[in-house]
Amino acid sequence: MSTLGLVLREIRHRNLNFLLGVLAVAAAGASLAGAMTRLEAHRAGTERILAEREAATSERLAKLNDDIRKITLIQQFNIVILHKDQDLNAFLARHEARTMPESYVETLAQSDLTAINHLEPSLTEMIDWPEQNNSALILTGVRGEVPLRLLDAKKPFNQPVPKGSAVMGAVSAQVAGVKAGGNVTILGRAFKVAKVHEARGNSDDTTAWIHLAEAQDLLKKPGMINAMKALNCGCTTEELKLIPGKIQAVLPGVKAILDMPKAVNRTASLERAERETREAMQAEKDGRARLGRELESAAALVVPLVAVASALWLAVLAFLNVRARREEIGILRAIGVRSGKILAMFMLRAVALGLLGGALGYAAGFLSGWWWGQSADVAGALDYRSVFSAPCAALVLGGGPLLAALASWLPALSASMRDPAEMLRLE
Amino acid sequence: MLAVRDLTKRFRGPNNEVRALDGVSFDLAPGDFLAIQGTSGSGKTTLLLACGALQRPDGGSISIEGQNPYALSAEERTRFRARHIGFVFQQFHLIPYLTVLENVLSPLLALDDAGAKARALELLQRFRIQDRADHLPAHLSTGERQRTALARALLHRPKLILADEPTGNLDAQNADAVIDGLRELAAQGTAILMVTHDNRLAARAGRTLAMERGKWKVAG
Repeated sequence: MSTLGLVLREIRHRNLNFLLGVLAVAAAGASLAGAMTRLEAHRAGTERILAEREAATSERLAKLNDDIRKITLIQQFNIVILHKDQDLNAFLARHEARTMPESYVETLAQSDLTAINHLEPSLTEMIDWPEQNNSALILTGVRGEVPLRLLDAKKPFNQPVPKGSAVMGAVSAQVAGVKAGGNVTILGRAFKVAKVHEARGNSDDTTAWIHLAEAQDLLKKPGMINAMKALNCGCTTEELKLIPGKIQAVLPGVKAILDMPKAVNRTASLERAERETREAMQAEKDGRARLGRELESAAALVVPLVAVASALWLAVLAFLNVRARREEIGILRAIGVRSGKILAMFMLRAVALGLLGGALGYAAGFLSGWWWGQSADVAGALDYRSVFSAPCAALVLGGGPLLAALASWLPALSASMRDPAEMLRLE
Repeated sequence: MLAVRDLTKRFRGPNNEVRALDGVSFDLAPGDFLAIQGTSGSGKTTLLLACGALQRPDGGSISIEGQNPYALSAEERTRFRARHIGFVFQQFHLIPYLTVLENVLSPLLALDDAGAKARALELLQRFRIQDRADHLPAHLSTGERQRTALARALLHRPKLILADEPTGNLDAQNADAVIDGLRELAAQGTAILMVTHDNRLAARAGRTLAMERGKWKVAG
């Protein structure tokens, strides 16, 4: 008969003591596996919740961006680029602007500049409109927005005006007595009215927009423009201040004027949206981290407590087992069984008990931690693979026998060292 | 075979020191069957355990097959015991979860023996318990239990059998069967030291010694 065979027969004989031992190890294993699986479920749940929240906030941010873009569309351009020697008083009061080469637009568009977009060149001059009793008309030639080399093409604020067509402000159309689809003559050239704007209450109302090349021809300024308009990109407020300098670095012959309130408003809106998103995400992360720490604290208290209680209980059971087997140990020693073998018998029993208890405890702990994680942490099913932890399984399956062996060590050692004569006398 | 000289052993009692063995000497040759008698507390079980290398005496010497077991290390003494001595106790001390055959084979846990299984079956037959081979001790009569214990003691063919009240729990018929078995072993050359307070059974041993307060009372 082998030592293992003897151990298995003894386990079958004293099954209650063994079963109680298995339950003690299972309780310790279940508490550890349950706590670790719960923490894994929390981690997996956090990943899922944050991913969902991030998707939701990204969607919200995209909507906010779109809203801001729409607002910006109404406000349109907030940067104007003029000749470096432009008298601003003349420009603002009388729409008098010094010309500069139209090639400046290409120079700017082909540069490495990314701080602006929606670049639109124009040639504007206030004229006496001879066909309408010399009433004042702001004539603006445009050719549409020019895409910047390093930026994706944007949907333009204004559609270019085709050659032979004119877009009229509300007052200028009224002065000429034309509507969309009608004809208007400016400086002796006839244009088909493509569109008449609603009244805006600003200088746009007395403006007529025609193609840039036709404006250059009518105003006798071929190849020239006198303004470029643009919109700042979504940069920080600090970066906004640097935009004029960046433009002038590319085109030393110009001055760039940034409508700071408009630009800041746009930037601040974007920044605020991003900040709110970040804060919302951070609040969620902080909340999850706090919950994780609470779970860890609870596990750090409960798991060692259960392990110690289980170890004590195992030690008591091992002591009772040794006591019940005094006669058996005495006779085994008397017939010549070495103390090391007696010790091995008890330790084998403890290891068998620990393995079984560890496996049962791990299964119970994993299932309860998984279930708890699903019901308390995240709504919906959590894939068991996402909460399975190999180190946890190894710890419980290896820790069970270790716990049982440690708890049984002293009773087993005392059994192996006891005087057989004394044990036989006691019986 | 067994030589005991001036053996002493004291136990500390609650009020005073008890001399369990007080200068005991005797010899046991192969084939001797010695019965030791005495009242409770006379020191006969202490003498038996000391002779079985289970209880170290305070003084004197013991030699078994020319070797002093107490001069050996604990592990060597355990191996020595397994090889040379067979024990039979009043309480049988059978392992409760092993069958009769497994109990008889249990000395194999201490010492490998290739022919042990066949010898165990032979012993079961000799003590007429072969039909109980697969039974647990709890299902045996007291006589069957003692015969199982005797078969276990004989598995390794020890040269010395130490029997402590081997018939103490048996009826007359079973007691006679056990003594018959021991006599048969002695006739085959095994030295037997038996402790008993049954005069009738002691008379069936080859010789008898009586103990009183750790000393021989009557030389046999």
